[in-house]
Amino acid sequence: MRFRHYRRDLPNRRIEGMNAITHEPGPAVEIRDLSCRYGSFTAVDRVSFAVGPGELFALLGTNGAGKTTTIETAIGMRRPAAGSARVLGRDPYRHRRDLAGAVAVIGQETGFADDLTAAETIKLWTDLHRLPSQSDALLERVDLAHRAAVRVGALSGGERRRLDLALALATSPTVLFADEPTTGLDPASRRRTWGLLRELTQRGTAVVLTTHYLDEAAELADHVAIMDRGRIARFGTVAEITAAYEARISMRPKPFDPLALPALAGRTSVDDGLLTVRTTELQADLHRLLDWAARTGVDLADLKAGPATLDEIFAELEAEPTATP
Amino acid sequence: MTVLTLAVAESRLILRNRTVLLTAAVLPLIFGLLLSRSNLAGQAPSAGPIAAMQMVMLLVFGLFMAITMTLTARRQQLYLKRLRTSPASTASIVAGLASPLALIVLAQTAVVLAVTAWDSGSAPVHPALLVLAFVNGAVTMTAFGFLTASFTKTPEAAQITVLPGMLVFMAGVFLSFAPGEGPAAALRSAIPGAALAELTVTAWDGAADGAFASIAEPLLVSTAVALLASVIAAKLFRWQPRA
Ligand SMILES: Nc1ncnc2c1ncn2[C@@H]1O[C@H](COP(=O)(O)OP(=O)(O)OP(=O)(O)O)[C@@H](O)[C@H]1O
Ligand SMILES: [Mg+2]
Repeated sequence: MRFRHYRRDLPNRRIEGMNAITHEPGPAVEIRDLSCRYGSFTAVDRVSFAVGPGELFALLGTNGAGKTTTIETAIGMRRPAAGSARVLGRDPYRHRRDLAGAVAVIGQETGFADDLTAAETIKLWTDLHRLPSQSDALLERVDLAHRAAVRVGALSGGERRRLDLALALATSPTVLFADEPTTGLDPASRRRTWGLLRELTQRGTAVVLTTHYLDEAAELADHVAIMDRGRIARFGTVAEITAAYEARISMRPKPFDPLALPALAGRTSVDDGLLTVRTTELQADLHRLLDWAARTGVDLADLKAGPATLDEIFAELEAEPTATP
Repeated sequence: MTVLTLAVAESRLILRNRTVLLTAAVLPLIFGLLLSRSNLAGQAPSAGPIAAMQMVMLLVFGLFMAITMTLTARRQQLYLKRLRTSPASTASIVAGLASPLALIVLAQTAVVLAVTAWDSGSAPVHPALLVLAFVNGAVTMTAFGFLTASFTKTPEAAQITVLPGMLVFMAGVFLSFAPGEGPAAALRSAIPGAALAELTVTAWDGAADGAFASIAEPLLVSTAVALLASVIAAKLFRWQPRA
């Protein structure tokens, strides 16, 4: 389940540093038939995807679906049980240090030395990367300038998350792996983070993002994979994925007599007075319902009609007994 | 450069944590000074073996145990995981975290050995060799601390997992005092701590034969052993708590 449309119009970037990497054309991240196991438990099962320069790829999925494990393999923190991961054309496990200058990582959990201040943490990071100091500018970008002299241990969860983002921005990465970068952020910080992620992709950074927020994926991602129990259950653009599902019409008819409904192309279900129609003929069925309501004088309260939302798709996937690859 | 960067950060962390500072800086000093005044000191024929025991003790507490705990604690804070996503090499991460501890031990050793010199009315014959002994000891202790941390899950568990290492170092020191030559002596130098003690005694009391011949073997053998320990540790070491 790979896609082959990467943006090829972006110039190859040469990364300055101790180990300069020339980025060959082609996907920045390429995961092929990747499987990862913990003992006998298969956490990631034959997952494949590719991310080109300037693209944002979102991994969605239930808790324990294998998103973090996939990312940790892609950043060389663990070795695949089968299949392969390639980042900028290299094996991330064997070339971890060579890639470190070009690849930034925002882990699911922040990892800081609690007794260093925010500014010292950034300084440490840029020093390790042999980059000029730029703590002030970076803290400003993630709206943490006022917390520069505060020890990281005293920062709030959302502030630590933003510091994480600042470290990722510090190295102007060619590839960014961000594992739930907006979890725990307030709405304003989330938007700000989205803006910064967009800035990165516009400058050609390939981004692999995991998230539990479906609106985030819809907002940012070029392609989305929904993982479920180790496998990619759905893949495509958000529009492609939703198109594969029936559209929904929902309403609370008053008065409501289920037997009086007109003949519809879609399936109907009733839950606590809420009538839902799942249909492949959205317009026709909607027309029939409106016509029926007009004729019989039924009031269609809370009327909504549209394609399936990612939330609904998610709920259906979770309810499936086994993952469908 | 990377080592220095990490060492500066680590020094800040040590200075900002009072418990760590107390256990790392003050307690070993007290033990070390007690050893100068103990019965052992009265019985020893010369000050060399006393200095050796003091140096080993300070390094065991201040470096071997401390680096084991530091590595496990920093791993638990996910700090090591973060460092692994930087261009820092394995060696520079370990060296960066160990060097502030080594500096503390160096200062302690200077104080304790000065007291021993004053007490015994003797001075080291080869002061430069004493420095070499310290460096050799610091490398060995760091390597074995790294190895110990590779099978230690938490800083609390480190209190137990350091025990085998401590026993080995003690055994190394006492065996080094036993007379012996040839292959047996080389084998003895392979026991961590033995070379350090041997070098310290030679530095303090002087060597019977030419100084170079008596230091080359323990130096080479113990360095090789430390290197081997580091290579094994690097293979086994987990950089994050979740395996
Ligand atoms: N060290 C481990 N030993 C055993 N099982 C593990 C280990 N680490 C992870 N797992 C299991 O592997 C599966 C995938 O975990 P992973 O962290 O990749 O999921 P995730 O998709 O990132 O979930 P979340 O959304 O909760 O972050 C989970 O079922 C988890 O319990
Ligand atoms: Mg996760």
